Amino acid sequence: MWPPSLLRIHIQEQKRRKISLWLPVFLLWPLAAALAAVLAPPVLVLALAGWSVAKRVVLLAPAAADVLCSLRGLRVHVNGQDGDVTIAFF
Amino acid sequence: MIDERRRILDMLAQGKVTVDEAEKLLAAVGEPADGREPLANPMRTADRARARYLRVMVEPLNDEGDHVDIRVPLQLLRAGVKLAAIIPKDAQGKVATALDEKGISLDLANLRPEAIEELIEGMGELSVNVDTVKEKVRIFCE
Repeated sequence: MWPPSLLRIHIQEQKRRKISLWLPVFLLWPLAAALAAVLAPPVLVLALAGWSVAKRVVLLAPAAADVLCSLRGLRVHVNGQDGDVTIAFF
Repeated sequence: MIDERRRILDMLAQGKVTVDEAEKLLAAVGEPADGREPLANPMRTADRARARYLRVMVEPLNDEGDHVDIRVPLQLLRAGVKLAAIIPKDAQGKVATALDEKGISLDLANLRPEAIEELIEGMGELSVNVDTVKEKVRIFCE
């Protein structure tokens, strides 16, 4: 499963200007992958050495990545008297 | 059905029922005597296989309320439960306390990924419709 490529944020308040953004979050993933590749070896070494924080990072990182990849398809839309808000991951 | 089958097999192993009686009981709960899995309703199986999102929709019946449409990938629920299981115990306690203050009693320590998988499988046929004076609430999987 791939992480989301685009994040749409749409906010429109009554009688006010609307904000509609399409954020290319796919640009972040190569940076995140590069950062993970750089940090993974020292974190693994520290985890093997017994450092508790490093152990938690090693356990949590794959689960957090799984959550991130599962965001694709999440959509929240609220339309009320005060305005309209839409947040969606594509 | 799996629990009933296991109970019958336990009774057979303990000698409480004979082989013939166990065979009749298994047939009664829908399990073929030769051990093969019973044919599932193809439509229900297809519905469960297709269900990828949980939808929550709130539609007000007047102009005062808010329209709410939330679509949550079921995969996100699985991933969230796995993440919750790895959270350190002290953090789990704080999360549980915060949820309890909001009226949600949830013990993260006992939240098993296997249990959520069974729940998600059963949610394929979930359909909740609540009609009130002010709004309609629909919860279903698609």
